[in-house]
Amino acid sequence: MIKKAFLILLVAFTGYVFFVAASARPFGSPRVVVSKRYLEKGLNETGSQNIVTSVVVLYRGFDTLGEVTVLFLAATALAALISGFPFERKERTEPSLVMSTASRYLFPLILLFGAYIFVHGHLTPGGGFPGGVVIASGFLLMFLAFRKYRVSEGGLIVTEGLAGFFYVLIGLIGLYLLGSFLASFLPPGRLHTLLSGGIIPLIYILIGFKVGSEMTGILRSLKGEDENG
Amino acid sequence: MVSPILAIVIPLAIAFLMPFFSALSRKSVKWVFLAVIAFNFYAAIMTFLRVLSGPILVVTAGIKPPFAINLLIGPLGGLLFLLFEGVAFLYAIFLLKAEIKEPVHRFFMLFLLNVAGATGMILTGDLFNLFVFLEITGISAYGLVGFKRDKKGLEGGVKYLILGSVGSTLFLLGVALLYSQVGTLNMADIAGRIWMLKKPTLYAAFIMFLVGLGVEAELFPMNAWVPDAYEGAHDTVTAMLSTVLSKAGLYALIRVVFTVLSPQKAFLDLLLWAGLITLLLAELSALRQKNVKRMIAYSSVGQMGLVVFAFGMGSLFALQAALFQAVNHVLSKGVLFLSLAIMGKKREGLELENLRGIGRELPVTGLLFSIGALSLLGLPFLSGFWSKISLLLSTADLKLWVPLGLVLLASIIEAFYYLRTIGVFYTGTDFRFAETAFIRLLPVLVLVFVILYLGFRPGVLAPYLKGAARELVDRSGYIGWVIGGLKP
Amino acid sequence: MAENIIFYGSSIALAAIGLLIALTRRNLIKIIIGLDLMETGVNMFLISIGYRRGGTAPIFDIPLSKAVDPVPQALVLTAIVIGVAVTALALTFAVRIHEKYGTLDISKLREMKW
Repeated sequence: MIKKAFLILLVAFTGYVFFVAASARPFGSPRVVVSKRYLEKGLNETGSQNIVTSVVVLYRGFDTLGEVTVLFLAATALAALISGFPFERKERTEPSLVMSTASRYLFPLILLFGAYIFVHGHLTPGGGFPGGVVIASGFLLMFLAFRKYRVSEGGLIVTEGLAGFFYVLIGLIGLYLLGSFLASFLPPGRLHTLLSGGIIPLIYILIGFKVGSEMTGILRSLKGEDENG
Repeated sequence: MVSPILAIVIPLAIAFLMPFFSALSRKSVKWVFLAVIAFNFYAAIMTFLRVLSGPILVVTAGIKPPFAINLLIGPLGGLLFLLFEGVAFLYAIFLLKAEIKEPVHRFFMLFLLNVAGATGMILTGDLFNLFVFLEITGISAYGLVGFKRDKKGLEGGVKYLILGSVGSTLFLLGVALLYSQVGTLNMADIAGRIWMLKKPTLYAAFIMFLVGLGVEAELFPMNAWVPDAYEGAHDTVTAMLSTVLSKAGLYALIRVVFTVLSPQKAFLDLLLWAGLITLLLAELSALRQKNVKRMIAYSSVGQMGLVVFAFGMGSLFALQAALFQAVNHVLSKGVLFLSLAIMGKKREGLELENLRGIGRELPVTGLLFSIGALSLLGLPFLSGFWSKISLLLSTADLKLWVPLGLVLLASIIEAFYYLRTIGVFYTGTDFRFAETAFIRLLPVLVLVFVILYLGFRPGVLAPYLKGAARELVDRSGYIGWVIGGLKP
Repeated sequence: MAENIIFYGSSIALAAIGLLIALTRRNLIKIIIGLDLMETGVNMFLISIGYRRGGTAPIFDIPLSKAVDPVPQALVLTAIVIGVAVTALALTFAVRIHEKYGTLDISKLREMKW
């Protein structure tokens, strides 16, 4: 009974929201107010060729710090919740030779590709988050291909801790030098080249490392490796 | 001069480094935690003093709002900032002697990020940034509730997680809807352009915000998670949820309703009735509880309902009363949950029957618990009296007789079960005196001292409450602070 | 109008279906799938409100009239990451609950009543 009432209410509300969204602003003609400035001045102001990146890292950089924190938080909470979980060690067969050999050769290429994505975040689509996830996918491949593949916990903790700390530190340098948090204290550089965009590439590299190590850490926790916090 | 933004980013940076501190010395973690919260408290005091002479605008990325995210701390933000960090500081002291399950450093990391998230929620001036901080606060709270990894903790945690994520996703949908109409995310900028919205859009956005933020603000029916999560969590976490987190959610709700989407009559009426229904249902449920912690959890929901009800009245006087009631709720619930934590150490389980005679065994704790409860009930010359009386007066002022009667009824129910609990605490023949360590009593003592002080001199708080209420009513003032070039 | 129905309608409907699943199903895994669907729906909605007819990605020196709105894309990036975090945590809860209760049916979690 309650379920039915809820269903009816939900359908009605969905229709209402659809009507509201479609009638006021039809598809294909966005109201560009704040973005107008990003599109017009973004390139010269930030030096980043990819406007989405300059929005993510500079204009809305504080959100991105929060976003990195959310991921860190999930990895922390997950590790806390899973600790002490009695993982069952099921005997698996060793993956075939083709699998393990191919993985061994693919792994460095995947890491390289991930690094390429986050280093070029201000020039091409991509950036720290996709790059980091690509790197973590490389580790996932290794976890699948080798039963005994281990990632040291210390390495992950050092990477994610330092990357996060330096991210905040860059923000604080901006606060100290230019009076506002995450202000770009480096020059925009020559447009459309690798060394452009002020602090954007720096931050995206840190995010790449952080996301990569966090996602790998999540995989590692869920896989149930050696238990020590 | 401390930039208020440091109170958000320093905890983040230290939380990232927490594993290093843990590796250096496992004992150092809680001291580092205490030091960071102490810094936050200091920043809050400095900010509060600065806000007295005018609101503070903090820009990020060196670009003026509305083009980049900004923080805005007006009288309301300053008051809540001080309250949150002060209470968190007391909890940090309380945690020094608490028993925490392994991995200890992860508990403190989650707690630290929780404080940072709640701080961010009250300081930010950007709607999407509010969503991000809502998620930081929420996810750390899910982790903290489930931290014990026992049946109760997991059950509370997962219920909170489901409702919390549904709520924040709905909130995001509301933000998206608003963005599609006004093309900006800055709260003040949206507030300035809200006239562009047609009525149906405004209503749709309001419903999404009400439902989405109602989860954190504990409004019926999105508060199903509350009793389970409160009961399952570590005691200090429960205190945090009940005092800081619920107020952060409430702040977000009223900020969105009053400042961003102009306070329409229909919105306020909906808030008023949602608050009343929450109040009555929660108090009736509290009456039936056998577990004291769960009972106080329901009472907490009821108090949130009362505060939301008072906000729904919308007059300046009512807003002041609502803010005062919220402050008192923080103080009293802090006392209740912390003293209950001390009692829980002495007995097995927190069923009412198990706590018989605890007031004789722990005379100081029992007394503090009683003062906290009596202040909540509104006993004269305690802080809660003044807020409740001004709340009732403002209800009468607006001639809302039916709600007035219902609030009185709820207060009677509340008085009944709290007095029953206190009565049980002081019956029995057990006279073993076994008071707890002073360091654990200290935070409770401080809170009780504030309650007593405000009870004798309620006028101390009045100018701040008035300023905060004015900030909520005066929309154009808020818009002017952000857009009109308040010097950063 | 057809575009409105395809993009706005389907994304809002997806969010609504996710909400329905999350609040009415009993199996924890299905609930988590519901939460994910809801998030995906909202993300799709965000992307479609930023689309400009004939527009393309706001990269390189393209004429202004050709670029889509970059802000929703940035927001979706954030929202996706947050969604991943919540899902990972929810799955951990599911693993733990299955260990303690031996079931994933949340109506069977009767340690405390709703």
